[in-house]
Amino acid sequence: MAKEYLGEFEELVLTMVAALQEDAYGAAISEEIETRLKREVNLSAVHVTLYRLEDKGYIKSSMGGGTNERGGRRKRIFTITSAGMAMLRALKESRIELWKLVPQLKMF
Amino acid sequence: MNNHNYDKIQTPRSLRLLKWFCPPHLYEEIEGDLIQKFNREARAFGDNKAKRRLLWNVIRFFRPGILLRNKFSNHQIHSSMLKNHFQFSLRMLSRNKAFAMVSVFGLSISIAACILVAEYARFELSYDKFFPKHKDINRLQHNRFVNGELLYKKAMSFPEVAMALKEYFPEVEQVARLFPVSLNIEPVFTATLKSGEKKSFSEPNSYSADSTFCKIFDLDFIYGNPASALRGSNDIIISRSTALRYFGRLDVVGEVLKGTGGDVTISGVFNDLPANSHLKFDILVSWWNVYEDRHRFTWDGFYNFIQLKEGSDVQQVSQRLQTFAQSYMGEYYKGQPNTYSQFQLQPLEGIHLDSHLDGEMRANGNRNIVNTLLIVAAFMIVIAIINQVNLNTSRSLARIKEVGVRKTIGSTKTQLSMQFLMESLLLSFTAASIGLLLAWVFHPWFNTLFDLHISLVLIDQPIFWVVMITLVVAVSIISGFYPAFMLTRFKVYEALKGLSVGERKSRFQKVLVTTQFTISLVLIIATYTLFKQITFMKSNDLGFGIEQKLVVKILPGIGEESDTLFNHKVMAIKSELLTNSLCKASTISSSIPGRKNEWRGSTRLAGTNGDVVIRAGLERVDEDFLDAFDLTLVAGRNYASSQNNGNSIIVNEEATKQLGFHSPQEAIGKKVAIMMGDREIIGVVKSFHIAGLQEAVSPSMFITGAGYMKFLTISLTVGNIPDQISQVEKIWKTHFPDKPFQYFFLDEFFNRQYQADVLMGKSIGMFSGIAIMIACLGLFSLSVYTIHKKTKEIGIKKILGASVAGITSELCGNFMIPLTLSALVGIPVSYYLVTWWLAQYAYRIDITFFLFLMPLCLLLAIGLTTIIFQSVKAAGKNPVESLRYE
Repeated sequence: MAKEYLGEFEELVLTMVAALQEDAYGAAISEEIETRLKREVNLSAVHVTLYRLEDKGYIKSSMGGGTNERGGRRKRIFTITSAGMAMLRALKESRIELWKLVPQLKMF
Repeated sequence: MNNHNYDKIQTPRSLRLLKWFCPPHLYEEIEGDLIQKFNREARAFGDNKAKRRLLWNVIRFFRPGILLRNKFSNHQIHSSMLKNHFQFSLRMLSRNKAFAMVSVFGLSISIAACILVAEYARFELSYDKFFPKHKDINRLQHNRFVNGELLYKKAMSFPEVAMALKEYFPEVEQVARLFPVSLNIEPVFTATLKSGEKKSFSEPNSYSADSTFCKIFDLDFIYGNPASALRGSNDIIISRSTALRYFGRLDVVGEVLKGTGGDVTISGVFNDLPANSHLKFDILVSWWNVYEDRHRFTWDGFYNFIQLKEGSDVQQVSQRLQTFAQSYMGEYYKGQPNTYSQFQLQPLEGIHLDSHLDGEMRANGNRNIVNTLLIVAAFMIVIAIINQVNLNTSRSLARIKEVGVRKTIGSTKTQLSMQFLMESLLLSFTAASIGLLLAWVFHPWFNTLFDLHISLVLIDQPIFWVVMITLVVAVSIISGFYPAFMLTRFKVYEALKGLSVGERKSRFQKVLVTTQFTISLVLIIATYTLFKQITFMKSNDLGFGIEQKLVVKILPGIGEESDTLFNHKVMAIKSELLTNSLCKASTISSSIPGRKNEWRGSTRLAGTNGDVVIRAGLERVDEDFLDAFDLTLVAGRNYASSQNNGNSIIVNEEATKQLGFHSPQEAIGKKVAIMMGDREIIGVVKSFHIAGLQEAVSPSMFITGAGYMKFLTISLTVGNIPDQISQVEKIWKTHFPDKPFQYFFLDEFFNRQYQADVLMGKSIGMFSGIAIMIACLGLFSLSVYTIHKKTKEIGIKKILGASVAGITSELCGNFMIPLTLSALVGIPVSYYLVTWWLAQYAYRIDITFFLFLMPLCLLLAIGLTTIIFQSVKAAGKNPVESLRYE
């Protein structure tokens, strides 16, 4: 199988799905990214990325319950699949491998 | 609080907008997320700002990732289905290789033929359009009327009329004249190379031109300055190929050529004009006054080109041209009250196809031929499409069970249609590619066969590809129509039962095959008639001997044409030839049959006041002319060298008829007024075909008198021709060591007039060949299909005692119906066409029954051969096998 690659934003969203577990849905993910990373994200971009990740088989989804805050609309809860987990792990490890190659400058 | 917010956005437009574009299965979650975000933002920034941001967020969901989400999943299935269709189509075709090849072959050949015809038509229609100013350039046409009747229309007019036009019309930008130098004398130029070697050629395509000519036509100069090139009195500009012929190099400006009339200096070298120009010249010399003042209104032997100012109204100029003609010619015609001239402007780009006047620079094209070929090419495509429809339809009938099975498995109607359309698209696409390839491979061969200069330039044009793609798509939809849209309609159980849809279909197919054969029959009849006509023209008694006539060009220099010494030399050659055994007879003349006569003047009986004016060709001959060309005298006597012939004239029968004599004898002793004064008719020759058989015999007159002779004709005895030619050359060279020895044979020269007809015959013949082939393919597939369907019937019949011969004839008889029908339609159509085509020949073959019977028999024979093998094979089969089938 050809090696799949993830874009930066895809990786970020995938990580958030893994981190938020039961509470991983579009609005929550975008809120989390905004508060934790201080990064303005576009809700539609998050949605599209989630669908794409689902197409690639890294996450799966099911409909969850609605809340008052959402005007009673149900959420689509995403959960990471083992393929997604493996992908994340592989990414992390390759990053660390590469990081080791960087000469560590000492600050004097 | 939350509730409150939710209520407020219950019906905002922004969410309705979302509902409008968002796929339903994503709507709920997205809306929920948007509401959640809105609520959060409302807390942070206030309701108004939150609303604005909500709208903006909704709009941002308007993106392909959302819009096409549900379609996207479909699309994926679709593309994999397409791949599957493609694969399946390939399998189907490879299983029916014969079918695939037949249908690709038919279509690709006709596409190739059409491309070549389109290229030919483009070439013919592109004549003279490459001149940058072609839209503004016109040629002056001269029409002369006598007694209210048109005497002639000529491409040439008077020597100074262009200048007067420029004075008269403010719309005229500039004018230029061309005078054919070779009219009287074919010029010979000699170059002396640095090595001392001398090279000389006769130049039939030499013209004397105004210096403005280069500017009007924007001649492409390689060396020299177009503005000053023809200013001097002895300047000459030559084409690239001419420069290479004489010098072997191009930078020859300043070199001197020794001409017939003196030395001329080369002042420029231009690129040869492309083949698609009605102008053809290798050499232009600067203008000199060839005419005397008295010729200003009598000699219409000059091409006048008029360039109008950009954007001026040609229509308006043309209207005022008649007033101009009256004021310009009025003075001259005062003495001849019944005669007047008209001028006309001919647009440059129309000259090649539409002009057909007297005195054209080179043979014109024929718009009829271009149109006919285009129509035939369209027919070809029609036949090929019909064939495709036929083959595809008959083959698909066998697949009705497949449709049933596919439907059972769950295939939708759309998918089935896609499958069938894919197959026909694959076929027509392959055919188009092969057709393109064939056109590319065969166009050099096409060029040599038809003596053309086409190249595949259409493929550079986007419109060509648009047409090609449209054609491919159209052909695949039409030919795939029945299987894709009719076959797929059947209910599953109908399809699985294999309903007898065949009956109705084969009737439709028979109609198609009939159409194909009708077209083929029309084409065969056209070819047959054309070749009959050409053979008729070539073999018809022309009234003079055409075989074994060697013609040598005399090529006098300027001044020599009436020089006594020169003429004596020519006569010395003639008498030397007469003593030789190779020569039966020999004559010196100003013209020969098959050559357009420039000298045609109005002639009337002497002493009358111009009641009867005829337009007769006038030629100078000697007393051996009648002998050498095997002409017959019907009255009077021939010239005799013992008598003074200065006041005598010999005319042809046609001239006596037109002058109003009831019999040739009656004309003897009467006098006619010609340019040189009154002459007495001493003899009448039987009319003979001076021009090809397209033209009616025209009145001709023959006078003697040395001078202005151009041809030495030798009637050869039977013998070794190359040997005879070299003997004649030897004699020629002893008298004219410096003049080139140029000769040709009269029959070849004369038959060159039929070149256009031969070309037409060849191309129609080629097309009818292809058409028959394709039609036979259609018939073949029809017979295969029908016989296949009748397998059981044949088996049962045989068991009941039918003979092989009986079954075969029954099967063949079946196919005779479309053939007979096509004869019933095709023969009247072709009768009409043939009559129309033959009408352009003054002498033509009779339209007889045989003209149609022969092609019909041929077609029947070809058609029968196509089906008889199939029939015999089917009839000869063991009935056990036939019955076990299925």
